[in-house]
Amino acid sequence: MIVPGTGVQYGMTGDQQLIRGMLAGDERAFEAFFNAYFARVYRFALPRLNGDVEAAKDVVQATLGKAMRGLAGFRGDSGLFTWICRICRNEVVEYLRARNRGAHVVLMDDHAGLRAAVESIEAPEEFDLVKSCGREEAARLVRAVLDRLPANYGDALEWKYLEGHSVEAIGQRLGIGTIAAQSLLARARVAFREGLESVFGAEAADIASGLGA
Amino acid sequence: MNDQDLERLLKSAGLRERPPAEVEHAVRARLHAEWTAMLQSNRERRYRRGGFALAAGLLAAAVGLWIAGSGTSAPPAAVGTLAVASGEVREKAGWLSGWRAMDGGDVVLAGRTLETGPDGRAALALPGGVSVRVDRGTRVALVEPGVLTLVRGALYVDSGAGQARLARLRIETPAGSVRHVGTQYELRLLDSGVRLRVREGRVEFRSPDGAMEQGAGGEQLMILGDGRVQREATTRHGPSWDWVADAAPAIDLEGMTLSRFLAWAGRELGREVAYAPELAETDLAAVVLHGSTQGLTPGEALQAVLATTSFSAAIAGEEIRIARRDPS
Repeated sequence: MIVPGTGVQYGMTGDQQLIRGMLAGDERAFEAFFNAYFARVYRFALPRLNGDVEAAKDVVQATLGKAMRGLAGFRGDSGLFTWICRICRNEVVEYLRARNRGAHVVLMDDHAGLRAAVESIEAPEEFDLVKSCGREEAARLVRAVLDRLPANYGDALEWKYLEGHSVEAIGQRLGIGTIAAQSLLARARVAFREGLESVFGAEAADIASGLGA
Repeated sequence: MNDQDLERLLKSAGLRERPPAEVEHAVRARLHAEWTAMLQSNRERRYRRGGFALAAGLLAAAVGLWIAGSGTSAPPAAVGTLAVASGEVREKAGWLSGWRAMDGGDVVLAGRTLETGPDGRAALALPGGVSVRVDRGTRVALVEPGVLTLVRGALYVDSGAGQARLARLRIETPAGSVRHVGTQYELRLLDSGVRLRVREGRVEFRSPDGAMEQGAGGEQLMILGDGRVQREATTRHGPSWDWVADAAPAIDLEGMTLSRFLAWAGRELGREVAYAPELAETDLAAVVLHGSTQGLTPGEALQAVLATTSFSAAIAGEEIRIARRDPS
């Protein structure tokens, strides 16, 4: 992952480099960690807390703090984000239990089978998600797939295709050259396509049609 | 998947939600403080382990005792004591635990969050003579000794005089961290950003990206949400500073000289103490005080104490002017 605006790269050889930097007290590693995970974990937590922003703030704070303290013991069996999501899920449960807010919020990717697909981005689902869960939920899952891509990929795709930034501008924003930005976008597209196919069992064009685009 | 399909899909799904900026700033500040504390704690553990290895080679019995001492889980470190608790002042140990009302004299521990209600004010006495006043409606996380995170509201720091000025304190805010270099300053979170008013001395403000700004006595730095810093002159006293004096801990008068008491009052009120030409400071140093000013603000204490002496005080501009009382 890249610390935006600096070009400093972390995680090109996996999450271990970021973890080493964090444990060594490297401020750039802290920035990379925060920039890579804060917004994504927040989006993970918010719908599970009925959209309660204050609760999400507490839970994300607790999640990232716990993740940070556990970095030394992170074994890398799963991706760092997947591991952080597991911590976050537990924090959400604890939060709701402590406040006795009634029924546990169950979302699509809290179902075991679908969660595995979303997290591992490996096993394809057999059913048509757009039809079975509705447009809003499918759109949310598309955004969730973006969140589960390696750090910066989701941002780069949004900057390019939603905000209309040029490859040069994306390179500048990340502090890397145009060629490197081009290469990052290419990898992001591949990862996104694979993620979509794993979750939806369909290609982007079909999903877009299902969403009414 | 071609570019058009990708664009169509992303547009139909819409942008991912961005967390509110204030949430991001608050979480970043808390997390950074936690990370710093974690690194410090790791360093101390390594140091202790190093000490253990050395001792093991030298004296097995001593090592046994050391292990017995360090093997138990350490209680949270004391950050300081609550010198003043007026109105609602409470603390909690974590977001899963409930709030607990606090009283003056309570020890404040690392890892706790302290909060004052709409009518509450507090003063913390930290090691090294540092006094931290907590305004109404403030929440502050006591991260570890020497590190606080201002979550909302306002703090005032008086690093004291003499050697106490060297005591270290860092305050994290959503906009960055603040350290003093011997000073009195107020730090307030506003909707528009973080306001730093320096009464005396010097303060260093460091933004998350490492940029540093210094504020000197009589300066106000307004750190806006986008990171810009606006600098302007500020007063060192007046109504906007009154809350600081309201939250001041009472001073122990017993055996104190009048000149020392006046120096304290001047510091609390943000004014220089000036002596009438016919007076020497040694005249006042010869006067030893007895009694208590408990429950009085520094301004009230000044008048109450001087009423028992042959001196008077008058506030004029930046000064508290001390003169011999007219015998008539």
